[in-house]
Order: sequence, then structure tokens, then C-alpha cells
Amino acid sequence: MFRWLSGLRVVVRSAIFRKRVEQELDEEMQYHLEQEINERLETGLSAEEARYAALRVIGSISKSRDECRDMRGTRWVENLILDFRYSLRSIKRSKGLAFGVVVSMGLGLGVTACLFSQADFFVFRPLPVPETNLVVRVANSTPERLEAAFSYPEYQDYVERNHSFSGIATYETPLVGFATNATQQPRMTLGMPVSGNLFSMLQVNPVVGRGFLPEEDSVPSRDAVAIISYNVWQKEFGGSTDVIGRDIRINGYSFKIVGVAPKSFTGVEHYVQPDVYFPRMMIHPVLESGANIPRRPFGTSRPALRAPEARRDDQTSQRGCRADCKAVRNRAPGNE
Amino acid sequence: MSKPTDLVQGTLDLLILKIIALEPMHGWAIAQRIRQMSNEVLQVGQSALYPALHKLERQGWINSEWDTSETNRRVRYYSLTRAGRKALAEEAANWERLSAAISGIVRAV
Repeated sequence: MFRWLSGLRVVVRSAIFRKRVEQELDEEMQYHLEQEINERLETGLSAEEARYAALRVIGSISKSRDECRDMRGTRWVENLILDFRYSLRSIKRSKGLAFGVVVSMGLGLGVTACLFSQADFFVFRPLPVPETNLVVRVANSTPERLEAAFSYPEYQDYVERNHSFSGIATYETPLVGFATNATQQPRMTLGMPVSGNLFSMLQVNPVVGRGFLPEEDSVPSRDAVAIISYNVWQKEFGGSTDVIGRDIRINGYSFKIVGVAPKSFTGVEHYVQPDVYFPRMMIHPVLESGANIPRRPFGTSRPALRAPEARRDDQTSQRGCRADCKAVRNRAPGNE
Repeated sequence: MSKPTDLVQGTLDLLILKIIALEPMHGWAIAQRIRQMSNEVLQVGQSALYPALHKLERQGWINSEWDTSETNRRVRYYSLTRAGRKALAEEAANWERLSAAISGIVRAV
């Protein structure tokens, strides 16, 4: 242990104080040479002869110096430092090239990091809900479009024929004007009209107040109730618990706060976080042309059900739907 | 004159360890002492001596420190460490065995 440490000391010392170590070695060898010369002077040789003879005995000093360096076992460290200095000098000489290299490497790293963080964000993060493994996104596609929105009758058809999912919920993500009271200047933000079962189906329990009741999403324009996001609750209401029952404005329309979404729940899309949720049946008063807003259904599979069954069920439903909904779809856009 | 490279591999290390086991010494004195003690047979030049000293120091067998010599010059004194003392005992025993074996063969016939 001690021996190892002492060896390390030598290596570190000669790597860091290379110049001093070399100087010390030179001093040592110089002394050695002088002694050799003195010895020969004593035997009666002339100064010149003594020096010559001594040098012959001693051999090449620079070779000895190299061998000493090898023996210290620090040559690689010294070379590394020399190489590093050399590369610094090269960079100084060709600043443009160095700049180009740094920029391109920086960009390359940036792009890679960006791609991987995107992949992490969109692919690897599950939805912020319990039992996220049981939640599936139901997608619709047409020959022309890979992903198409569902119409309301289509959605209803899915709900009626559903045997595979414990529930199917829908949501939209329109931009709305949001104000915390009647006098405040509204700001543009993301609202999320949801089907009445979305919160209960995803097992998301509001931290304050309650979720939507099924009947609050049954009659158009009747129940002006809203759930605000945790963020809005903290920032605009100071996290106070008496927000329940307060009047807020969505696109100028009066809504009553019934709950606050938990901190972990930031909506069902990774890249957008709505500030306010309200029943789908309130779309019409809030938005002028609610029918044009795409619907994105959700389903939670029943825990006991295997995926192939769900797919079969889904296909049956879709086949039926295709026939039933064709006429409806053709009447679009105002098909709600 | 025997050049150091003619010494049996590792012998110089043993000689150095043995010499400085008696008292701390600087490089020149070590070379002198080896020459004297071997009756001028072994002459160690600095091209062999200093690399060996550096190696021994790295191995942790010897220590070095600067001091002033009897002639008032700044010189580097080498001394044995505890590990060096142990190594010396082992090396010496090895040498005894090896030289006895070689002598045995050379003197035979």
C-alpha cells in the first residue's frame, strides 16, 4: 500500500513538475560529471583531457535522461501533456478550422440530444395516470389520412358496441380565452373539453373538489362546470381551497369551478398541457363551430382482457361503424 | 572494464540497495562505492545508475531528498525505505541462491 503510494507520488510529481524533475536530474548528472573530471585531474591529466575521458566513460547524457524518464514510468503522461499543448498550439494557428469543428460537433451533439429527449418525451414516458399500461389510444384512419379524427356519431357508435374497454372517453384541445373572473382580461390558453367519464375512467382524482359527473356531460349547454389545472390553481388562485364554486370565464362564458386536477395530471397529450377542463357538452356555448373540432377517443382495456380480443372487438365495431357512419360522414362538416 | 549492461539482470538494483542500506548516499558516491567494494571490477556509469535509481524510487524501495554534500554542493541523497529493506533481503537471498547454483555448474568437471 505504502509502496504503491510512493510510486504514485513519483509519477504525479514527474508529470506535474516535469521541468523541475528534469532540472534536478541534470543537476545530479552534472555533479556526477564534475566528480569524474575531478578524479581524472587528480591523476595528472590536463583539464581538457580529463573532461574528454570523463565524458567517454559516462556515455550519452541525453540517452541517460531518456532512460530515466522511461524508468519513472511517466512517459505516457508527459507525452499526453505535450500532445495536449501541441493541439492547443494547432488550434491557435487555425482558429477558423477549430471554430468549424467545435460548431459542427456542438450541433451534432445538440441534434442527437434533442432527438433522444424527444424520443424520451413522446415514446418512453407513460401517461401520468394510474394503470397507464391499461390505457390505449384509439386511432382512426382513412385511405387518405393515417390519422383522422372521430366524429361524434362515430364515437357514440364505439361506446354502444364496446365490449372490450371498461370505458371510452374523448377529449379535444382547442385554444380558448381564459379569465379567472368576469373583469379580468382573458388570456389565450389551452382548454380541454372532455367526455364526462374521462377523469373517473383514467382514475384521476382531483386534489380539491370533485371530477365531472356523468350527467354533467349529457345535455348540451346545461352544466357550466370546470376543473382547473394544478398549475392555474397555484399561480392564479394561490392554491387556496375556496376556489370551488368560483366563477371563471372561458371565451367569456361563465363556468363554475368544481375541482382541481392533481399535480401529476397534465392532460392526456405529452406536448400540450391544458389549463382548464370542461364537459364536452359545453363546446357549443364556448366555441362557435364546435362540430369541426377533432375528437380523440380513449379507451381503457378491461384488466382481464387480452389485446387480440380487444382488437377483434374493435374491428367488428369499426366494420359496423363504417356502414352506419358513412351517410353521417358525408353530411360533414356540421355533423354533430 | 565491465559495462553495467554486462551485469546480470537485476544485479545493479541489488548493489544499489545494499550500498545505501548502510547510509544514505548520492549517485556519484554510490557509483564510487560499487567500484571500490568490487576492487575496480564493477564500474557503473551514470547511463545505468540514474535510470536504475529512478526505477527503484518509483517502485517505492528508495527515497530521495536534496541536501548539501561534505563539499558544500547541493546533491540528492538516496535512502532505503522499509519496503526497500524487505526487497533487499529477498534480492540478496535470491542472489545467494543464483550465484551458488552458477558456481556449482562452473566449478564442476
